[in-house]
Amino acid sequence: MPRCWINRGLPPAFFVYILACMTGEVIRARAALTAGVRSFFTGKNYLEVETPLLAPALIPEAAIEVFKTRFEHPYRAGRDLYLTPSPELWMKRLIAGGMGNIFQICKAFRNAEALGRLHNPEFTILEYYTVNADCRDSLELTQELFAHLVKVCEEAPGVFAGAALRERLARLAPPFRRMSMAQAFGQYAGLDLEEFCPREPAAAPEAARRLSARARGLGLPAGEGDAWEEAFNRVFAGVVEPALPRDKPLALTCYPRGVRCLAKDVPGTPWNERWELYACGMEIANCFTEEADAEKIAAYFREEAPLKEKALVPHAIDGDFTSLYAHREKAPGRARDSSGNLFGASQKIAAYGPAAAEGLPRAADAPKSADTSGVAVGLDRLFMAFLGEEAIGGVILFPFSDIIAPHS
Amino acid sequence: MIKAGAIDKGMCLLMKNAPYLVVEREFVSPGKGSAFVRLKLKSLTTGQTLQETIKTNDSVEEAQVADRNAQFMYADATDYHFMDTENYEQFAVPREGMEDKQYYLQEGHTYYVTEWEGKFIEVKIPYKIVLTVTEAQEALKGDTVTGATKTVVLETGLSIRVPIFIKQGEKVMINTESNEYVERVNS
Repeated sequence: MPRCWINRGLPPAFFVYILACMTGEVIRARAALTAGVRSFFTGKNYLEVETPLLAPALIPEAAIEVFKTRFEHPYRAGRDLYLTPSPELWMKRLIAGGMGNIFQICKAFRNAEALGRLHNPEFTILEYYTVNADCRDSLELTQELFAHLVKVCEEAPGVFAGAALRERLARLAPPFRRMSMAQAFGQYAGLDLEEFCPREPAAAPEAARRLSARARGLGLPAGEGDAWEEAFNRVFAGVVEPALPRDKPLALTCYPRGVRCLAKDVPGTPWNERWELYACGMEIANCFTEEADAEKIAAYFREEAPLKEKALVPHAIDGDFTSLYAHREKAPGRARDSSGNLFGASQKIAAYGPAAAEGLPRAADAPKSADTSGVAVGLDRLFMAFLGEEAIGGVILFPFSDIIAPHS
Repeated sequence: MIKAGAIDKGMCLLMKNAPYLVVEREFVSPGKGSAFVRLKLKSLTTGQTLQETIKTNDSVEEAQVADRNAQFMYADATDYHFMDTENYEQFAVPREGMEDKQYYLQEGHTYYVTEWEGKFIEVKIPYKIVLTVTEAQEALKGDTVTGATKTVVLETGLSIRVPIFIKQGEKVMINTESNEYVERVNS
């Protein structure tokens, strides 16, 4: 376990010794896996990009707290800046600019997250965007990535030593399990989620009351006044997530629209085109078919932005981001551009219909998507799974809990 | 009352009017949603464990418990007998619900004994302890399989699996949570 020893008052030479002896194996394995991720994407002609970690304004996400800092100009006024909680805001600009398939490995920063087995406020994120693709395509791609990384481990057994290696890799190898949220709720909470999803926004408070009442019936401490998303989260975190199967990676698909995000809706259903990947009981990746409807994105901003005012660290809202999408209305011709079609009209979605609720099947004759799909992977957690580490501090050098706040 | 986000391992919480020890604590925020804390709790009255997932901004009540530093003297059919190391007061802790502690308690050693509302409800056993092997079979000659183990009995009556080189009369360190052998201790 690469634990940091500097806070134990040990001399630097001893620290170097510890690094060389105790953690060398994990450091080398991590480097090999990172190289494996790079070679996978470059081999598929994804362009590696590097975008700023400092941004003057961010996409509003109510559940994420950010780090605020400041640029000081020696002679003029300075300005507040924020460390990006993900490179999404920049990478989508590149997609809109026609960059084609891109990927990035960088640091992401999330403030006010309690430290523990799964969190480090500064972590490594992998994001990849595929044009002319939807979240089904991204799921196939992610399976290929896992297969590639399994191969990396198998081909360098010295680096990935350990008796349990083979067993561990077998649990990570594709194919992934797939399960829709509705199936998971039916199986583990015994409730028909669709029945509890509001059909229109005006029905949300009533649906929230019904779902909260059901949550209390399951023994969960749901409040009377919980919003729909809160009630949903209580049931999901309380009884569904702990029961999810762990023998294989699991793609949990078709999130309810009541969980607000920038994923596209599945028409005619209460779901959206989103999946999250679980491996070894950890949430490892999040994927959308990216919403491209300017009005829906503006509505998301209108709903999320006021919530940020109540955040511990309020931040400026990236107003330019919405205008990227508004541009589409003015230049419809561009939407057919095959190289940069974040704004492309979806001709494909009708091919799925309501069946999409059953875990994202693909119609055999479905035309190629005109959408863009993005995936964000918590790379440290992915490495935990591949290296069999139980805590995030086991795969990062100088974990936050050791260097900053040993007692929190 | 404290916020659930401030709960830490080792704390005692009052839930449904009964005290629970926090055995494990993990933070989760599913689907980039609001933050939850997932707790593994052990009832200090029945010994049963349960899992709770609560929002980090929900309020929970801490159980007002006190730890007494006490020396273990002996066990009889119904109780464990201790002596407070500060005021030399002797007291009995009922075995009921804590039957397994007999395998870890060593006479003359001191432990923290948890008191809640006038009752002794928990004896805290260190994570690792050293015990003497009292019964061990000689390893069979020629058994050279790497990682081969055998079962031995320790001074407290606990049976655990150890590597075959461990002999009767030797001391071993064990992990009291998993009952696993850690290492041989040279005395």
